[in-house]
Amino acid sequence: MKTRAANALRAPSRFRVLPGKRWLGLLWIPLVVAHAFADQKQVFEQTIRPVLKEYCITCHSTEKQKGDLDLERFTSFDLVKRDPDVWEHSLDQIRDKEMPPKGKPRPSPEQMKQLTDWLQGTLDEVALASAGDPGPVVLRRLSNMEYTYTLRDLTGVESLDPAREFPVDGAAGEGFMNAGAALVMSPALLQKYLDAAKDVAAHMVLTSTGIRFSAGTSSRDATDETLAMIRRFYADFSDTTEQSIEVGGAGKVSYKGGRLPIARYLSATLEERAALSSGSKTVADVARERRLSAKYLGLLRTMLQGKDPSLLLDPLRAKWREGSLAAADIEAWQRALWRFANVGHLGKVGGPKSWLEPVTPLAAQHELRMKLQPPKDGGDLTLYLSTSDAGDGSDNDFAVWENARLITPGRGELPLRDVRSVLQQMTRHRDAVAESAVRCLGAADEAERVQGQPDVTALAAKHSVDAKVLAGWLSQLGLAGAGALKLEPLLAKKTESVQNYNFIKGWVGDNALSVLANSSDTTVRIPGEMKPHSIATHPSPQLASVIAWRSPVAGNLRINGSVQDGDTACGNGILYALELRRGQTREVLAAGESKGSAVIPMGPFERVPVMPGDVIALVIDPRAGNHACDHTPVNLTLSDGKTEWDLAKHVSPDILASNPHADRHGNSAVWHFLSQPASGADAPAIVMGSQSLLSKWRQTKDASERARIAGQLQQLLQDNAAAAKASPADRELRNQLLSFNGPLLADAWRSLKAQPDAPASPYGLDPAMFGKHPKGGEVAATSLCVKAPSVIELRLPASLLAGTELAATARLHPASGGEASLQMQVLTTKPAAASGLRATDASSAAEAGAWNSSKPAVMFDAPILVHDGSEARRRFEKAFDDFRALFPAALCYTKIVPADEVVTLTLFHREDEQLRRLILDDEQTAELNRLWDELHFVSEDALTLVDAFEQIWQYSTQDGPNAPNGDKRLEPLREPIMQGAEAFKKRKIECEPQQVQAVLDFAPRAWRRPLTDREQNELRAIYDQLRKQDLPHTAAVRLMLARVLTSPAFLYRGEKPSPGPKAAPVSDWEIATRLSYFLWSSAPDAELTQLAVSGKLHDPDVLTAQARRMLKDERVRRLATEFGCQWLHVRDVATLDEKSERHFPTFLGVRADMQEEVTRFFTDLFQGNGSVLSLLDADHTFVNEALAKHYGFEVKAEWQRIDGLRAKGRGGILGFAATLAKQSGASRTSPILRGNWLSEVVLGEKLPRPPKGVPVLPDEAPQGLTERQLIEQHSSDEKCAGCHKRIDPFGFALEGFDAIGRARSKDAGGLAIDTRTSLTDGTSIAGFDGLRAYLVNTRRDDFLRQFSRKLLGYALGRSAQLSDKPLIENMTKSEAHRVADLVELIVRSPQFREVRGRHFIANN
Amino acid sequence: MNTHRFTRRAFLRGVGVTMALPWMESVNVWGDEPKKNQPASEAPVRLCVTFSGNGFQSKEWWANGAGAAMELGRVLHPLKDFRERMLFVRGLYHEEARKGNIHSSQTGNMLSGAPISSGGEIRSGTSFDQLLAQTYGRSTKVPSLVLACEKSNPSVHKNYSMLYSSHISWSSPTTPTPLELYPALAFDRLFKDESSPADKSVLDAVLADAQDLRRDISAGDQRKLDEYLDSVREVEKRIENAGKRGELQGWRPTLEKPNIERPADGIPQDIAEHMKLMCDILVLGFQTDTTRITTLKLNNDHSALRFPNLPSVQQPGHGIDYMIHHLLSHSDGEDYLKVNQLFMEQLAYLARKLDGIREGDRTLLDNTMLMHCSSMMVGAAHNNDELPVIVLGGAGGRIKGGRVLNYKDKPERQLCRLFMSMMDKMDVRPKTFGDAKSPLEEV
Repeated sequence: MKTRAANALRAPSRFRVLPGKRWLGLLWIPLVVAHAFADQKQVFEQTIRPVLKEYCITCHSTEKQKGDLDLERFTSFDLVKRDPDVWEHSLDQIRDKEMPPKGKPRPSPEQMKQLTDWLQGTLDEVALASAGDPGPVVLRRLSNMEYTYTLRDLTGVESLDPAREFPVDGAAGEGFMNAGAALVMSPALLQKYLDAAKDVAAHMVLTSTGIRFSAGTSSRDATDETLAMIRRFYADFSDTTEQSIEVGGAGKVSYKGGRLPIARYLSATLEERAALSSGSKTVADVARERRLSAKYLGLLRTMLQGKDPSLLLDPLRAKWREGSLAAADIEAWQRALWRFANVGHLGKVGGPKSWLEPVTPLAAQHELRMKLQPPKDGGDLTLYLSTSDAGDGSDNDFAVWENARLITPGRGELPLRDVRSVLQQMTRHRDAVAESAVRCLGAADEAERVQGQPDVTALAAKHSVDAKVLAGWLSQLGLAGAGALKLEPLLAKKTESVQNYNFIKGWVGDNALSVLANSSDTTVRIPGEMKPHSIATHPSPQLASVIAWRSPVAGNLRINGSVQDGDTACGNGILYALELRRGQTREVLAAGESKGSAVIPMGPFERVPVMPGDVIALVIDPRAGNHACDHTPVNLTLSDGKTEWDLAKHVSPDILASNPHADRHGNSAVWHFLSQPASGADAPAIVMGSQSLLSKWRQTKDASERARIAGQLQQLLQDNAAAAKASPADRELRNQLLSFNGPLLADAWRSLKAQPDAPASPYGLDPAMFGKHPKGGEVAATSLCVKAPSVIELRLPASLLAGTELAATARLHPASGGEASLQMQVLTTKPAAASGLRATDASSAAEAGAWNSSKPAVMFDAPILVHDGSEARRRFEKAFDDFRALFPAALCYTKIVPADEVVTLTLFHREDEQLRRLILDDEQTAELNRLWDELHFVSEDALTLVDAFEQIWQYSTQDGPNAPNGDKRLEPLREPIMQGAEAFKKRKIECEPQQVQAVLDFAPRAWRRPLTDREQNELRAIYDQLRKQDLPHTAAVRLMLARVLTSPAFLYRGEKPSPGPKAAPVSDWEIATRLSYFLWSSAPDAELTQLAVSGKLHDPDVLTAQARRMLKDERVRRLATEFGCQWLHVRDVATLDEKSERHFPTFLGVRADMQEEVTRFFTDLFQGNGSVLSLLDADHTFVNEALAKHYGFEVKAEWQRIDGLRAKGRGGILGFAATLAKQSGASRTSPILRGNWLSEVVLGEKLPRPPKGVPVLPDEAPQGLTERQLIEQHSSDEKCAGCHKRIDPFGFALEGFDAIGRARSKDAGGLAIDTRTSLTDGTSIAGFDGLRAYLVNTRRDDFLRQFSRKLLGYALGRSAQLSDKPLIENMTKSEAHRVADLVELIVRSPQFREVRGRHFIANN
Repeated sequence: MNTHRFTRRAFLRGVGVTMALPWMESVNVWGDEPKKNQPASEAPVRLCVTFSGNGFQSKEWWANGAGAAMELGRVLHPLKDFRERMLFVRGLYHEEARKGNIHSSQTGNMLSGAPISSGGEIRSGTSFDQLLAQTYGRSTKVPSLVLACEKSNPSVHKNYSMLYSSHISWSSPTTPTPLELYPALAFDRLFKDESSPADKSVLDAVLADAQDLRRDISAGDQRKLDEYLDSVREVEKRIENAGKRGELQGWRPTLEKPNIERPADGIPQDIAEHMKLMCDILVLGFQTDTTRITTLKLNNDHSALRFPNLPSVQQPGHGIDYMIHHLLSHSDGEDYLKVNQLFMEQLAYLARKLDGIREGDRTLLDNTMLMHCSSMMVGAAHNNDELPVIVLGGAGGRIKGGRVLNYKDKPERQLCRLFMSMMDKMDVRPKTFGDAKSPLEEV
């Protein structure tokens, strides 16, 4: 009988020429090929049988069968050929000199040679005759790893680990875990397969079009995945950076992504302008190169080159032409023309229509209000009243600044027209006040010394000063009598309990403003902590809380205070200040911020002088207007040496007794609880380092000292130069005293009268400018009328600015006509040009109540003023529309889930029209639509909405129009929600058949072959059957999938043999599966499947091309672990726990990296089609930082390839830490293990079995012996020497590496390492380099043969056998030893492509 | 007259809790006189085989004398309370196990005595515990429970698959029975009843797949596929039987439901704890009559189990790098003895637990055959011309303990003869088994 393979060998041309017509290697030609079987037969009968009879059959007779071996039965050469295994084994025994045994007669050397030559010749003949036999490959269950990889590839879910708790697979064949013999099944395992299949089915997500798989098993997981997919989609097309946007009514909100990446598009149009105009590149080219949307790039370019006049676009075009158009130019207008609304309010009556809404900064008039900020240097403020022509000429552009005025609380309104004259009067008055300072203080000194209320008028007359000014001084000094300093507004509302604790009571205002006391012994949370008998306070956003102690005594105080942020879970902390207040003066004793739970002490402050009526005030400020979680426990104690005041002790028992509250010494109205405007500041007030002159004046009672200080004070007031050099406290004092609101001048301000003509002055404006039209005629007396363009400079002194606003109504003069347009703005810097159109900033008014606000008004700082209904208005509207069409402020709402909304009905908000309109092509739009459809389908939000609506309806019955019957504004939402839910329920049912079909479509992929009609019907049938068992659709469809994944068609790699005895090629589907499991340990991918479908895979060239493709794929990493690591016995190094932690504390940290190195090395070998020899002599490897450190290399950061390893005495499998560590003991190296590994695993030598009763080596070398000497001692044992002479020298050469693979020059006992050794064939070598050179040069073929044998065994899932020898020899001899060439030889071989006939007869 | 008819279920409902009934007496308190000589209420004989690899310390595995006066080597000291119920069997061996290499090929046929294939092939013989499970174990929900406390090593050693080193239980000559290492999953295998009629439909369907597939494949592949077919049928049967337990010929197990919590997921860090947990589960299997045949492999032959928490006597302070089972077996000193004793303590724990459960006049231990064995006598020597074997328990009164049976110098000393004897106690009587043709008369 001739096998197909034998035929193949006789037609060698089939093998020689490979794709690309390259000569891959010589065919293996056995040495004795010249002999025919006829010769062998003759030799057997004439020469061999007599030798056997004399030397072998004495023991191995049919009767004795020593060692179960009967050689007597081989009476003819045919019988020999039929049982080559026996003779292969015998040849090994003879060559290893095991047989004949010692002490028995031996054939002569000549006879011995005859015998071995004949045996080898016969075996070679048999091999050649049966070459290519597919061999006995038993039906293979997927190994645990194959099962896992297959499921991951089928589902696309990398985190699946279904075989986690399966029993470990065994190894068989050439020692790999993919051999059928070792892959067993049992009821317990089958149950696990069924459970695992059900678990995988639980990861299935039912979509509107079929199925997909999720990393999780809940619908929440699936929803989140779809959401993530949509967000990734959005991110691909929009700017992904974080930004802050103003959302109507909600203020600034941080928002990520979704913006038009305009900068990238602009630079494309600018940088590629030449290429685009010359036609050397198309818009599509540029878009592709820069990963931009061709659609938008084209639109943008068309606009920029466009000629249609546009008020807004023309300036942009002009800038573009000169190459200076920047994203900022566009962004400024985006801010002016768009605004963002609360998504939660969409759909509500009167609510916004979309998240992104257009706004139009056009107005007929503009109410201007500007807070005036005094310059930091205390100097003058210059403002520019700018009137521009809005970019469209100025023929009729007459503007009116109507009723321009300064508004200062407490001081009334001052028309801009009168500023100049008022200022002049006040200046005069101030000079007079300054000049009288010494005299006034003299009067004050006298007033202080009299008993009772001083007579101010008399004193004033006596000291020749103005009585009102003197009264101001006395008030400032607190000499106007007790009670003069007003402590108000006091908190007036009481609370009798907090959080149902009736022992927490206190004084409260609006917005959580409060001072609370705990009168109990219990600590409670309200939610901030209230300790027993303590006081805590809380500010509101607008008001700071003040706890004030008014002194009932005169004396020197010791003051202590404490403050604590009592609610650190949230909020931005508080600001605190402890102040001494007297008259109008405030001295800050301590100030700071409290954030974090620490109790902050204030003081003690010693010897603080007070008069009766002076106030010590503790101020708790919300900090930057944010009062969230500002619960603040405080205390304050004061003592004058005789009496002590303690806030907590005095107030906590009965805080509600009164406000102000008495002390416990009989003084009423000592403790005050009040508020003052919050500072709005973010940082604490500055504590003045020194005292002001006035406080020094007060502290001293010495008249001459007082006179001296008064003189200094007067100079401070009169002399600007002196003031500039004064201490901060004095500068502050000067500002206070000379302020128009201050004690000395406020009265004078009130009595001023404006005068129509004022002399020229740098301040204010000439009153003559007011009240008239530039072309003649009148306007209102306080209005200013100008012709655009115009800039009026207005200078104001610091004294006028504090707390002051500039207000005016800006409008077109009615006579300007329908074409007129203006932009009127008050600027603090001088505008570059008065004409042209400027983008205006916009802001929304903050509104109270998130749900109630819907569309807050937008305010512009410089709207374009046009007449309602005018031509100009239409022109601007058109320009704005053109701009918005191309430059939306956002392309899409990437948040999708409006999570920040207080109340919302929207689960997912889709707003991406701009993206679709401007950026996406049809295909992309379809994909986005599909994702959104999937999101709605998977999340079932149509159903959830029903509940959500009910809840929000309930909520609204407590509030809003017509409560308690629910907010009417919600009513329009109800019907669509109910209808949507009904429609969804219907749709779900409609989608069921598609989902069933999707599982049917999944089955051929899982089963790696097409389904027969019957199989399809049966799969459908189980679904129907399960539905009949009252299982819901979801459960039934999942079980249907579980059934697919429990079928033998999935779990086993079945192959159909041809009938009869002959081997035949497997089907295209089967070969696809063979190839895919060989290289990827998984099912065929789409491309391979497609080729199987089209029936092309049996073509060896197609198959080879696929193999080469697949070798480059990243999935070949699995070949690296399952073949490479397993072959080298390092597949479990990542979990190896057999190292002594005492000796090698670093091993655990690096063991996984060791295995990863081997995996990466093999992966690279396969992907890069490296030489198999590089496994021995590579100059490179792969390391990460930890492994590099282990090796003593300098490498930072992540995994990377490093070269130059030879120079470092490493490279290849001999130097892998993984192999060196694996073949070592727990605490010492083992030359025996390493040598044995090299001999058996790497070179494929067969060693005789070790003798029984081998003596044991101690765990550590005894004192004075190197580990090597210890081994040598052991190996000199006569029983052992034969083997050890072969294996130990290999190990000795590797002694330069310790038991975890680190280079060393001394062993664990500190003795020098000797790596010189003599091999069994007499070669002397030294160390790693010597061993490697020996292997690469002398043992090259042995190594290549072993690699080939192992790779073939892995590919076939069985042991290599005699009939594989020709193929293995061809692989061994392949030119350049490229690994892909070896894979190709396997893939093209009959044993890989064929299967034995169903009735195969052994050795036929 | 039977005026108080108590079904066990009704009784339990009445009490309102799930509780262990101390055999039949509890019913007697409430109900009838016990009926005399009811053969149907005889408890069945159970088999538990335990195994440890690498043999024992060379000097301390021995027993002399009989009954309470039996003297024991130090390895066996933890079992001294049970010596009157122990058979110490000496001198038996497997001929086939002496032919191959060491370790793997000495172990894969531990319970079958069958020849073992080398090279890439996996072939041994059906082990006697599985033979019993296949012929006898059908009457329980789970025919047999095969547990292990050390995972197997997926490689080939000296031309023999390491599968052999870690599998003593074989469902067929080519099927080493997969081992359960996870206590929680072993527990589930006995008691988890999540299988539904829907599962049954799935199994019916895949069974049909397999039958279709079987038609088109080679004879060798068919044999492999039969493992699958048998497994599916087995699981189906289990689902069918799930609801119908407790009506077995009048005999009722002492426990209806497990009385311990499902163990935690994962494998306990401490090896002794792992072994104890596995013992608890197999006792529970017997006690609830969920299974009658269990095999527990305490460790592999060629075992890499470590005992870092067991202080070393020989090399004080060298715990972690030294206290490794295989290594210790070669050092053959006091430390190995300690490890041997640790294993025997687990066996004693198991025996004590079984003995604490009363089944009528006897204890569960009396109704059990608890055999412990190893595949070599002395780890350091790999010698297996006589194997260490003990049998605890009374096989329902069919085995008389407290004896040393010495076959050392006798002919026909196949270990398979002992297995035939033990199968005989469970009324399974093949003509031959392994290399044996008759049971041991003395047992």
